[in-house]
Formats: sequence, C-alpha cells, structure tokens
Amino acid sequence: MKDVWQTFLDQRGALVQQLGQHIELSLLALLVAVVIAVPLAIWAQPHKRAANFLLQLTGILQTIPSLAVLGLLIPLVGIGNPPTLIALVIYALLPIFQNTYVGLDEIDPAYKEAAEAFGMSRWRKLVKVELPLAMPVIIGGIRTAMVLIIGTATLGAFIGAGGLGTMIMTGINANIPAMTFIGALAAALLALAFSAGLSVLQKLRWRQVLLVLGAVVVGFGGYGVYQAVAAPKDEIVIAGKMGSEPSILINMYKLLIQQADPSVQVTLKPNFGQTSFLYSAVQNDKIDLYPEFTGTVVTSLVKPSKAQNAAIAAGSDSYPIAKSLLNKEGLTLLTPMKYNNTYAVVVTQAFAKAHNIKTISDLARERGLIAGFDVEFNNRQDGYKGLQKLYGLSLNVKTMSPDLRYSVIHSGKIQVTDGYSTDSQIRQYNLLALQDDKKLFPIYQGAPLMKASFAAKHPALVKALNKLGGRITETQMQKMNYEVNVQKRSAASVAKAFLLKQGLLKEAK
Amino acid sequence: MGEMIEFSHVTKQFADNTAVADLNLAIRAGELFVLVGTSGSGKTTTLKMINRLVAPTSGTITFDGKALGDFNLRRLRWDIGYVLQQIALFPTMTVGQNIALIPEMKKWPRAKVKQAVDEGLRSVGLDPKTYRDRLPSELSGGEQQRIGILRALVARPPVILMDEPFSALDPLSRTQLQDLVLELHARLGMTIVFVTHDMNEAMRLGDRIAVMKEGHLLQVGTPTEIAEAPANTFVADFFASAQRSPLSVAVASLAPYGTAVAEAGEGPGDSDAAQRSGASSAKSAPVVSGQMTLSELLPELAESNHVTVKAQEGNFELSASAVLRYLADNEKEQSK
Ligand SMILES: Nc1ncnc2c1ncn2[C@@H]1O[C@H](COP(=O)(O)OP(=O)(O)OP(=O)(O)O)[C@@H](O)[C@H]1O
Ligand SMILES: [Mg+2]
Repeated sequence: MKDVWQTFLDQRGALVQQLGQHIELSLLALLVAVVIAVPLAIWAQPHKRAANFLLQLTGILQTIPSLAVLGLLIPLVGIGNPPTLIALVIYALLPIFQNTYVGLDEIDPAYKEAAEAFGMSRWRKLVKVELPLAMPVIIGGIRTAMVLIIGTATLGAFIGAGGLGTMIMTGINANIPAMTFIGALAAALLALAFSAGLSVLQKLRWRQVLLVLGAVVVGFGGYGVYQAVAAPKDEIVIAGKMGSEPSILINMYKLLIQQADPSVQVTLKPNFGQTSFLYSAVQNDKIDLYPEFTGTVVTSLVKPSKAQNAAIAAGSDSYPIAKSLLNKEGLTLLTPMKYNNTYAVVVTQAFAKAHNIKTISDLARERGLIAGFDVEFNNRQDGYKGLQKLYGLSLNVKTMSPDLRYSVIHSGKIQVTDGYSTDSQIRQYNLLALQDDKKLFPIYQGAPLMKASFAAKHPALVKALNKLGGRITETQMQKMNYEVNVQKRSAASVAKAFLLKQGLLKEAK
Repeated sequence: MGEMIEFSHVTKQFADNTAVADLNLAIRAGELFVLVGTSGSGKTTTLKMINRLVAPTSGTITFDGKALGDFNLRRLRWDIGYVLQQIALFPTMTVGQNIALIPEMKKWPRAKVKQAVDEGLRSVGLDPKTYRDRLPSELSGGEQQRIGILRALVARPPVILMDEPFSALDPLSRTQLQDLVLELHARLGMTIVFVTHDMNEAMRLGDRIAVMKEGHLLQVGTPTEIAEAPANTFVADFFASAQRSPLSVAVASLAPYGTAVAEAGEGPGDSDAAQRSGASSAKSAPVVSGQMTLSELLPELAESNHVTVKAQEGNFELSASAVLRYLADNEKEQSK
C-alpha cells in the first residue's frame, strides 16, 4: 500500500497528463458516436428493416476484439489518435443507436397520436415530443457507451494515443504492479465519475440536458482552440519503443538536447508503441525522432538489394547501408552507439565456468543440453536454424514464452536460452551472453532516427545527440536496464547519472 | 344550422374487418354530438376519420362544405381540437407549455399566448399561478383532463373531437368534467363530437346522439327522440340500461353527498372496534362496501339511518337524507 502511495506521488504529473488525454479522447469519441448514432436511429425509426440491419451491424462491430480493430485500422489511418478514435466510436455506436431507437420506439403511442392530431410537423414532433420523452433511455445508452469507451481507451496506449493505458502498460513492462494498479484504478474511477454525471443528466429536464450538453460542446471546442493557439512554438517530440532501454535512451536525448539549447521544449513519449507505429509516426510528423536499431532498419523498414544483404550476412557494418536506404525515404539515422543489442545465446555463469564455455562454438561441443527458446527465435534463420547450420549446435529445444525463459533457466530446468544482449535479467540472474564468434547474429546498433529535413533544420540537436555515438557498452546498458527494471529507479535518473559519470553532461550550477 | 361535418357512404375496412360500414351522417355546426355504442362498434374509427388520423376506404367526408382531402393537413388539424381518453399531456412539458402548443404553431404573439393560457386555466377552474408551471405528473387525473380539454380548445377551433375523455376518471371528477364541457359548449358554441360507451353520459351531454353497433349507425336523434322511439331493441335496451341507473350505481359514487371520515379498520367487527375506541362517529354506523349498489343499501339505511361506506378514494359517512338528495338531483338531471 505504501508502495502504491509512493508510486502515486512519483507519477502524479504523468497521471494528470494521461488523465487529460484519456478524457479528451473519450469525450471526443463519445461526441462523434452521438452525432452519428442518434440521427441514424431517428432516421431508422420508420424503416423497421433498415433499423434491424443497423442493429445487427453495430452489434457485429462490437464483437470484433478491440485490438483487432486497432490492427485493422493502422494500415488505413496510421497510428495515434485517429485509429483509437475510430475504434472507440465503433464500440460506442451500438449502445447509443440501440437505446435511441428503442427509446423512440417505445414512446406511448398516445403521445405520438396526440402530436399527430395537433398538426405538429415531423421536426417539431421530434424535438418537442419524441426526443424529450426518449431522453432518459438515450442518455442511458450514452452512459453505457461512455463506460465502454473509457475502458477501451486504455488500449490507445498501444498505438501511441496516450491516456491511462500508458501507465498500465508501463507498469506491466517495467514490472511495477503499483503503477498498473494506479492506472487501472484511475480508469475505473473516471468511468464511475462519468457514469454518475450522466445519471444526474438522466434525471434533469430536457432543457437542462440541452444546456449541459451545449456547455460540454462549447467547453470542449474552447479547449481545442486554446490548445491549438497555445501550443508551444519549438517543441521536439521524442518517442521510444516499449521497455526500459528506449526510455533510458530518450531521457539521455532530452538531457543532451536541453544542455545544448535550454530554450527548446522536449516532450518524451516513452512506451509509445512497436517499431512500425513509431516508424510511421516519424513519417507523419507525429513525433520528431526515436531510437532505432540498424539491424531493424535493414530487416524490417527498408529493402536492401541482394548485394547489400549478402554484405550484411558476411558481417559488414549495416549502418551505412541503413542510412543510405533511409535517405531515399527522406529519413536519416545519426551515429550509432557502441553496444550491439542483438540476439544472444545465454547460459548461467555457473554453467559456463563449470564447462569452460565462453563462445557459442564452445557450447556446440556439449551434447544433451536442454534449451528454452522463444518460438520466433527457434524458427529464424538468424536464430536457432542458423545456429544449427553455422555452429552445428544440437540442443533439445522446448519453446516457451519470452517472459518465462529467464526464470526457468534460473531455476535450472534448462541450461540454454535466447535473449537480447542488453537484457537486465542477464545481470539480475547471474547469466552470461555467449560470444557469437562466427558472427551469425546481425548487428543491432542503436541511433536516433528522424526526418532528414528535421536534422537539417536542427544542426545543434544533431551535434548534441551524436555525442552518444560509439558510447555505451553492452554491460553498461545491461546495468542501466537492471537499475530501472529491478531496482525500480526512474529512467530519467538513470540516464542522468550515466551521462554525468561519462562527462557527457555538466551538472547545472 | 349548417352542416359542419358530413359523412356520405363512408366505409373503413381493416384487412377483413369492417370497422365502419356505409356511414351517412351530418353533424351540425355548434351542436354537441355524441357517438355512443358498445366496444368495437367503430366510434373511434369514425372520429379519427374527421381529423384524418384514419383515412376512409371509400366514401367522402366534408368539413364546412369542402372535401377533407382538400385541406392542408396540418392547418386542418389546428382547426380540430382533440381530446384523448389517455389524456396524453406531454409529461416533459409544463401545463402552460402543453396548453400553448397549438397557439405557438399558429404563431400567436407571446403575450397573447400567455394571456390565453391564463384565461383558459381560470375558465376550467384552475388557478394560473398555481398550475401554469407544474408538470402534468403533479396533477390529479381530473385536473389533467381539464388541461387536456383546454389544450384542445385554447386556439378556439370550430370543432373539438373527444374520444371517451372521462372513462378513466373517478365518478365525481367525471360528473364535474361533464358539467365543464356543457358549460364551455354553451359559452363558446363550438361543434363538439363526443365519443362514449356510456349511455348515461350520452344522454346527459348530447344535443343529438348517434348509436352505433358493429360499424353500423342504428339511430340518430335527440335524447328524447331516442328515449321515446328507439329504432330497435338494441337501442331500447341500451337506453334502458341508462334509465335503470339511479339505484344501480355503486354506493362509492355517492361520495360527494357524504361526509369524509377517518380510516375504519379492516375485517369483521369493524363497527365494534370503532365503537370501543370512539374514534369514528358517535353513533354506531354500520360499515358497508362501496361496491354494493344503492338498491342493496336501501334496507340497511332504512334500519340505521347512517352508514359508513368503505371506498377506495376514502371512507365516508352517508345519511338517508343524503341519499334522497342524490335521487332528487338525479331526477332533475334525467328530465332536463
Ligand atoms: N388500426 C387498426 N387495425 C385493425 N383493426 C382496427 C384498427 N383500429 C380499429 N380496428 C378494428 O375496428 C373495429 C372498430 O374499432 P374502434 O376502435 O373504432 O371501436 P370503438 O367503438 O372505438 O371501440 P371502444 O369502445 O372499445 O374504443 C374494431 O373491431 C377494431 O378491432
Ligand atoms: Mg374507441
């Protein structure tokens, strides 16, 4: 409990910011859903068959898992707010449409007959009689939609829309349950608060409801305008992939940039998403830069020629190739750091000592070992398949989830596993990443990726970031990851301590 | 008097069910015309054909000499007030807003609307200050239907249609509202078409009465004409059921003639309990059920001169002289 309180105090700022994003996104989604679903339900009123069709359609839309909706939307609308907003709207349509339709349909026919007999026009009937009568039911639908939206909006964090999901996910990734708990609690409380607010609205009179809704729309619009006008002029947005390592790196970027020019405002978006989200985010100017690996660039983001691939396979530096190919896309990659964050074959230090093993070739001499590999690693040419071919490695392989393998090797049930060379667990569990003496694994060196035009416009920033070029060894990175993941220090403080120690950052006087 | 509404050879067919069959009927300007008949006889259908809520299958209906179909539908409806059995005051609007509906559609100036609402409320016996801003749910059934009537007539339409407007009300409110309709009709002189299945109500209200049965019009005439020369045995029986009424009414409906008393106990021995506690009347008045008819009560009354009637709307004490007063009033009413 004390833990939760401390985490809450630490994360206060982030929580408020994420809460704001969450509310903004949810309200916008709700507004859009209302604007679509209510008129549609009104139109469908006299068209029974169309109404049934729409009910089923919105019902089907709602059964699609939300992650799948996001996945389907990304190729169409990119990442960030638009796909999240669309997904949320899709979920909110059913309850609002259904309740509006039912609310209107279930009005006592006597009222409809009276309105008709008094010679009211269709519009007047709707506005003066039918909508006010159906209002409690419609607001009930909006309430359901709101709760649904607030819950689903946590998924927005997966694709860079921010919100309370960021806190939940950071907590999961960094193994800080208190943070996950705080994020989830905040989302739940938010849902309750909105639900309560809407239930008050349900009891109000028609005119008061209109007044409140009008105020929300005006306030929201005003806030939007304020945001647009008051947005800081020179803001640099740096994002990072999931996990401690990218978070530490972007904090270093921030410190270095602000040291070069204290007037620049740098906004960090840690745990922003997976590779493809970040890559398109740079291309769409959603973010200005993020740390990327040379190996990832040449294997997933650009298409090297046959000759280039052969050169990479033969062990030549992939950085120049990555940089020149990115250039064709209008992007650039600054000078990479020293450490190579590639696949690693991992054993315990005790085992390595006992069998005198330092390299993968040493390991290939041993027989009858049990290995626990991630499914993907087990099937990759630059994974176990390549190890068998190049080193003649023969292991008794059991595939397992990546989150389990370190604790399983620690328990002694397996002797070998795969990992990344900078994983903090290597240090935490006293493990050893064996040397890839025949150079099977591609080289993954980290460097800031950004638009070439952005780099040209910010020479001071480029210079500041290039200070990291050729710095940080694998052991140093392992240690920093360990400090964040296991010792629970903040990425910012770890980054700062490292830069100070290395003399890259001067303590401000 | 000219003809206000005229049906000629009007038939309304619902699938294989003939709701109204070859109806020929002329309703005169300024008369209070009552359509009476058993359930399902086609009264509502006939009424709704006048304001075109129902379209006739064949035949023609004229309004003030002009075919109904030639009118602009909404303007026609503004000129035909409508009062429903379900009352149907819009619950989301205040009393004042409900009344102002048609004047607003007719684009009356604000001041004129407000004046009409307030005057209207006074004319149906309700204080504007107290009632104008209340919601319909804050009114009794009788008060609600007063507003229902006012809503229909506030714009002074030449014709008002009423479909069993009082059948959901308690007997006392019903009598009061019948009086209100008679009074308003006498004062304003509009044409009223009034539907009921209660022959008593028809006789009490109607300048002329049309008796319907299974979609057919059996007889049209003044109450006296129908009483003296019923067209057939059905009409005669229907009429006779109304005549028998003074003694066949439920005792509960005599509440206006009694004096209200505190709640009496339940079950047998009520009167003893009341006597012992001394909480009820000084004398030991026997307790009778409000559901028994007046004729059943007479022997009891001859015995004790006073009874306490247990009724849903509240218990009351009834004396023999009160019953006589009721019968005298009733007689006066019938011979009117
Ligand atoms: N919309 C409709 N569709 C089909 N049949 C209908 C419809 N409206 C009325 N009917 C039928 O037409 C006949 C006459 O109905 P109507 O409502 O006119 O009777 P009513 O005299 O008003 O009866 P009540 O005293 O019960 O109100 C009935 O048999 C009824 O079932
Ligand atoms: Mg009827």
